[in-house]
Amino acid sequence: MNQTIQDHKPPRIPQRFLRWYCKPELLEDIEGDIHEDFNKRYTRSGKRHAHVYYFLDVVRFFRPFVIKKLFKTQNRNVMFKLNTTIAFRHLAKNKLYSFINITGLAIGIAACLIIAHYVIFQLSYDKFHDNADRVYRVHNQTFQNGEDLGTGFYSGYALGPSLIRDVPEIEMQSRVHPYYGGAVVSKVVDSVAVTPFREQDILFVEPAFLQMFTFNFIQGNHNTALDDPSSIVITESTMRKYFGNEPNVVVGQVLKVDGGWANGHYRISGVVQDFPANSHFQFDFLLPIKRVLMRDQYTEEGTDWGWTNFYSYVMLSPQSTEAAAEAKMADLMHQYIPEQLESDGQKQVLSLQNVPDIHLRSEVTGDEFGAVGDIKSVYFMVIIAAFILLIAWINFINLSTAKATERSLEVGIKKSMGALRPQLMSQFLTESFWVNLFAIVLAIGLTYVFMPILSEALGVILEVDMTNPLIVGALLALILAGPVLAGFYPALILSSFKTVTALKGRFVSKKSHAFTVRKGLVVFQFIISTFLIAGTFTVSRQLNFMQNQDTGIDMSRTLAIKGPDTNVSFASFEAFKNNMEQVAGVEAFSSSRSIPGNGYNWGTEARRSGTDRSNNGTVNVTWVDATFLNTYGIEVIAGRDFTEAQRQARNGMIINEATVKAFGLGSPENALTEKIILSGDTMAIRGVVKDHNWQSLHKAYGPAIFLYRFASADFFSLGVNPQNTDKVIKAAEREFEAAFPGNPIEYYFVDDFFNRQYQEDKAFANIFKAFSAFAIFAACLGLFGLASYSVVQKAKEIGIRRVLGASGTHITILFSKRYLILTIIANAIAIPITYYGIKSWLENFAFSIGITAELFLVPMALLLIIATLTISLQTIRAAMANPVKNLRSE
Amino acid sequence: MKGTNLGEFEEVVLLTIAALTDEAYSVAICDEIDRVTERKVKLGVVHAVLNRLEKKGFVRSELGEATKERGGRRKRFFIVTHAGKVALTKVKAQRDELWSLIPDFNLKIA
Repeated sequence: MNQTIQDHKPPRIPQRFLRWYCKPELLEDIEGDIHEDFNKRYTRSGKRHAHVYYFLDVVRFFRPFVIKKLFKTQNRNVMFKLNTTIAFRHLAKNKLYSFINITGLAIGIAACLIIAHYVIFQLSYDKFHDNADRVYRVHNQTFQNGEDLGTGFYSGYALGPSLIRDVPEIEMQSRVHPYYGGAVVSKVVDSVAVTPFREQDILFVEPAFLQMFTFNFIQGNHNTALDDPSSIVITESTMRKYFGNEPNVVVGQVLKVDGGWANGHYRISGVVQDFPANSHFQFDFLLPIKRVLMRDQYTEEGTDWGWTNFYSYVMLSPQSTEAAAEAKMADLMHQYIPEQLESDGQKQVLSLQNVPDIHLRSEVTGDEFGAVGDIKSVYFMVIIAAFILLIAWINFINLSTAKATERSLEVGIKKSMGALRPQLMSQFLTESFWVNLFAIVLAIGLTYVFMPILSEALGVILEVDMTNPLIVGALLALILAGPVLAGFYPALILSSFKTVTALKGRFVSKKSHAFTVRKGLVVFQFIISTFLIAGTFTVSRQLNFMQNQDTGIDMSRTLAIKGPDTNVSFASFEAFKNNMEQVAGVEAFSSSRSIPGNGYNWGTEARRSGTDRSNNGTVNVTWVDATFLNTYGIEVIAGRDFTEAQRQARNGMIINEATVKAFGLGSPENALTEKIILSGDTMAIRGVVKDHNWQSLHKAYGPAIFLYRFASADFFSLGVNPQNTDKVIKAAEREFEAAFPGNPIEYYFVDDFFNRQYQEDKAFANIFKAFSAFAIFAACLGLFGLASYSVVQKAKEIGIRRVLGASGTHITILFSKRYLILTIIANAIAIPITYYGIKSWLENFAFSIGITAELFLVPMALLLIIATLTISLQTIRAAMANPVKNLRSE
Repeated sequence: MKGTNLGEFEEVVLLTIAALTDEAYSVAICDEIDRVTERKVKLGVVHAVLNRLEKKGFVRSELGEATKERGGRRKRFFIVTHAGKVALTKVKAQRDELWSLIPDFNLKIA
């Protein structure tokens, strides 16, 4: 051929790959061919080209006829079959042992699978939107006099349009305005409203909202659904709720919305599939934002940045970056309202957060909507999963090694017949393989059984999905790595017996070494157990504390009724109030705009009268009537309660102790002489109430202000005599229907309502309970294995001791002692770790139980008792056995 | 082993080997098929076919001299065996017979 072609050096890695897989008799030929082509390409098209094609050629030759038998298996297949038979016989012979071993592993793996589902779910939030990677929510970070006041996402309605105008990177934006306070929605049939339901999840959005996020329209047109200001888009489940299960065409039907923001009739223009659960926001209805913008509140001069009831989503154009857009928008608000921000001493920095990050990594420091996840809790779950798997494997190791006694003869005979160590190891690894495989199959079954229960505890409903690539990958990894990781050490120990000693029955040649490793493993298990039990104990104590702590508010005897949304008039309110006050068992009646556990009505700025605007601080305001503080038993420590005799402004405000402190008003009595400028209005301080927990005990007392309002239709609170509860509820249902026809009644005892805030904490506690139960179970299995191992080993010693007169108790104590020492060591190591864990968890709560010795002592005592019982089970049996039996067997 | 009949591509390769006489080794075969039939043939495919032909007994191979352009490796030259020649002849005879049966006008390319 062409002799002018130079010889070049081919790339090493593909070459090695080729040499690895290629049949030796074909190698020279094929390698030569590829090399020749390589040289030709090198000369013709250059090095890179040649290298790429060399690699491609190598891959192309990876064909059946070229590949050598990578597993020279003929012989091994037979051995594998034989080993499998032996493994099955062995498993069948020791049914209890096999059962414990396989179930232990299976439960561990199942727990991991369930956790994996949870983690995958948490990580999947908002990824279902086609444009998820370029849709962002706009955040604003507020600084006052250089101090970071936190990051939020609410802004005035002028923000959205100015973003489009000033930031070219932003392709589209949509403002969102929630329907604060909810509304009553009813279907209009022949001009009559029927089937009213109270609805919370209503959003006012712009048409661009439908483009940015991915909606699946079942009915209606995706592009025009929100163009008409009287159109409404509903979800599929909402359609079922109002129109029944028959798949009708509902587009064109009319819904009536009553709730204060944008009352009126809306024509359904589209039905969309419900959002999956892994979305950071949910909705039942979408209304055009034009409707809410028509309100006077938003059309008056100077309201464009003032009413921060809106938030915005934006979609960046495909080629632009988050950083570029943020650079242009950071000080946007200072271009529009410089004077106002200046005089407030404020700096507002706008930023973006990618929508899929919101759920786990929200930058917002205040309240988010919906349940927010936390990337830390995801990490926490991953660590727990790793622990559980580790515990399960350690158990397997301990139990398998402990079985050594029974295998020594088998090993001895095999060795004397000429079996080599690797062959014995492969036998034990085969056994490990089968146990692991059974465990995995069982674990998959258990996952299906336990998922519904545990997903409830986790607070999210999860479907088992064994086809998820991550789960499949994890299972494959478990099948491949599990047997080796868990089986290697036992195989090493079992195959290490010296032939003669093994045959003699004195099998443990490297006794001390093997024993130390297993002791170490048991100690490790118990460290984890102590940690988890102490954690469970702390979490449930804290939860208990939070639910029973004196909040400074009397909630257990207070029944709250959610106020009506339609057909409200002052007359109907008066009628309802008067009638309810007549009912026996109703000790107080109050109306207010919010109740404990429902948050505050208004977060705004305030300062002490006589100081300038830069002293503004944030306060939270709630409107209540004159009987509210009395109904809820909130103690007034200075000044007076509101009175019905005066109008709102004259009544002034009632503040809590935290407000007194925050604005430097001196003593509560002194505060009565001061005035506070609340969002521009100077008001007198009428009274000071004791600090109380208006929100969950996660939060510290903050400045809170009550303002007077003669009547509110948001919440009615009834002080109820516990003996008449049922009667009061019946009367309330009747009177509510009579006074506010067309409004479904919704009521609850305030303590239940308040404790709903702890749902996530409860879920956390449940998870902890489930997993620590598993950890204890597994650790005890390990201990059980270890104890039985040593009891069998020392059978003769026990026999001799018995013959020489030792009592059963004495022997039990003697043999239990060393294992108890193991648990004590584990406890000692666990304390600092646990201390750190508990401390950092309790930091999440403004009000916590504090760290006491009890938190450590109770779990330790519990663990010791369980451990003692486990060990005694074995040692007592050994001690009670007839010594003759043990001594005779030689 | 599958039947000993010749597949279409096998036939092409076998013919090429016969045509190249002393120079019939994989890369050359590849190039020649490329030149004559204008088909882009991958080395791996040719190897597979050569392998099959050898198993069927239509060709045998021997190693040649080490060459520089192959990084010092030897070429494997292929020679058509007697069975190969018989098979080729048979195929040609069958084709010829079919050709002889075709009336003239049917194959005039318009």
